[in-house]
Amino acid sequence: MTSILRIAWKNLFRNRRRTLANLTTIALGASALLIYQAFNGGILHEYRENTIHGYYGHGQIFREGYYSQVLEKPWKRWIENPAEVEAKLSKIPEIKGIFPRITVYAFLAKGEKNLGGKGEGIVADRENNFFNQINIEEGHDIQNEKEIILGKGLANSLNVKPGDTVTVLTQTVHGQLNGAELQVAGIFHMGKKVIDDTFFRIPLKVAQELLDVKSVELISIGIEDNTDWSVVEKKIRNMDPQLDPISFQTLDKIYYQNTLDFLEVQFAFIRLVILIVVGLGIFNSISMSLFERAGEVGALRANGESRKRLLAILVSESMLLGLAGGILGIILAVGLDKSALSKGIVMPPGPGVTKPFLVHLYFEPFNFISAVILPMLAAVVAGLWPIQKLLGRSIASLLRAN
Amino acid sequence: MENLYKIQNLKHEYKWNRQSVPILRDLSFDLERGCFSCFVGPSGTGKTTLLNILGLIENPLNGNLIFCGDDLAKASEKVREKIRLHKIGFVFQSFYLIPTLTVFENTSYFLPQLGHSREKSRKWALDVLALLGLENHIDKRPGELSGGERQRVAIARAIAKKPTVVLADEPTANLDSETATRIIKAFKELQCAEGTSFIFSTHDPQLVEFARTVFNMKDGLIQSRVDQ
Ligand SMILES: Nc1ncnc2c1ncn2[C@@H]1O[C@H](COP(=O)(O)OP(=O)(O)OP(=O)(O)O)[C@@H](O)[C@H]1O
Ligand SMILES: [Mg+2]
Repeated sequence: MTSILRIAWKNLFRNRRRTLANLTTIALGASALLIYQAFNGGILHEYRENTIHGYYGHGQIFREGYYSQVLEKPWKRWIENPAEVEAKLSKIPEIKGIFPRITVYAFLAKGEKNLGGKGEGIVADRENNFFNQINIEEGHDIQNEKEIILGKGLANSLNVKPGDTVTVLTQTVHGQLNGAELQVAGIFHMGKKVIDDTFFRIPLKVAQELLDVKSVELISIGIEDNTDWSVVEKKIRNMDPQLDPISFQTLDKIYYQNTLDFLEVQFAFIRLVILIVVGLGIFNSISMSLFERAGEVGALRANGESRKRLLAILVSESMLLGLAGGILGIILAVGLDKSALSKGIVMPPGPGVTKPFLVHLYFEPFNFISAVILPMLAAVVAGLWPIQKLLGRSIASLLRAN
Repeated sequence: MENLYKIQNLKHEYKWNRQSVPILRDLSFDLERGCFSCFVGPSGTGKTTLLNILGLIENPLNGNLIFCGDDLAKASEKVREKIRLHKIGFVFQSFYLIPTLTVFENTSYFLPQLGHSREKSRKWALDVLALLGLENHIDKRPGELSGGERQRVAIARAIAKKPTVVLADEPTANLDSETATRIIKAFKELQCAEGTSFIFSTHDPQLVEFARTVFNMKDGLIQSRVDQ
């Protein structure tokens, strides 16, 4: 075995220029694969950070049976004893932030103008640190129990600015009209039009008073950066089976999971194209160099070398070529990432997003593995046919060749 | 002693535009072990074809080919491959060495497959190289050697296997006459030292002198056999 690999390796130095050309082709292909994949990874990473730190947190905890059902009186399945649950959650070391919330559908009125919006009651002083993707364009975050912040589109439609007062009108869970006068503290955008056009935030306490409840709808949580969600999820379920923790991927299925799937399919196609281009790129040169070796191969076979061993040697040659090319490709891609692309790539707004964003290449360990394995496979496949053809020839015809 | 080869009514042809063109018409001869034989004759008379058949590279169309007591005229490639590895060494006009391997590596190329230990293989290869006067070149690549030296490496590769017979198809055609004579002398020495049988083909009348048995071929037939 070692002798086969050794012979194969040495054969790569037969025609250095040709090998170099092949290596370049494979390395370019491998680095294109890697950069493309890391770029997709970067987009997803960016999106993930945005989603986690913009709205959902790493996940949200509901009361059992709430998230998966549409209920006529949803508040009946809210978390009734938030203080107790919070106390329990704070005992789980991986949990960094606990953010109880309530959704409030309300009318916002300012002078003649009157608009429906979806609001959220939050504990502002806790959320402001973790949810750093909310961009306050004007004014500031909620700082006391009398303030409200509005999405940019909503604020525009109501024609309000920080310092103005708006009236929030809603019904309590018992059906009575209720309202609160709140001062606009700031105007934000999250980069998603649907949110920016209808969304507002008010202090949790105000929301509870408006709805006349003591419960909270859900508790968003933030966890340690390198912790697996599933670990935390398990701990929460073990602690209190009444709680139903759901990851942000599931909560944001439409965007996150679909984006992931979409990019995956697109990448599969591009990957195929790149591999075919690499394969075709080296096919000619492999064919030619094998053709030139006909006499030599004939002489080896005349002396008793078996087809099987020759096949192993020749396939190993393609494999080593692919491997070396792949490694060079990785070096190239990482080099580019550290130099030309180190500042990231500015991307125009993606689907459903209003602001341009900066993508940094984001390499996952398995990206490197596939950047080596796939070009290696392409090289082996490219070599198979010419190798097969060479070994299929009779020894006499091989010997007559040169 | 049993014969090295026993050839009876050997025939071979090739297909050209769906027509069969005979190359070897009807050959019968014996060769004893330890022979030093040579096939001569004009171009196209079938010398290469005959050596290929003797070397189990091609199966003959017809006739008996008995090598070391076994009739191999219809043997499968698997069987022939094994016999070639263990019993036959081949040398060609164009050397056909592996340019990326050193003289030593080329010489010992087949030895691991023969199941000998590393130490034994190494000693063996070095002995053969010394016998052929190549001991100062073992770490060179074929590209750094002269034609005669390269052919001696090819011979070393064939002989290192300790085959029963070495077949050489015009081994000196690419060499000047002085070098050619040296190569044939090397064959002769190896034959004496190892008892290996040698069969070669040539156009060179000078080399014919060295052979103990000379077969004159013409048009796919053996015209005469001279034991000198
Ligand atoms: N596969 C083949 N296709 C076409 N012609 C062939 C084939 N094999 C052998 N021949 C022909 O058969 C004849 C004998 O060939 P062979 O090579 O055995 O002759 P030779 O005596 O070795 O000639 P030379 O002295 O030139 O080497 C030649 O005419 C050659 O062209
Ligand atoms: Mg010939």
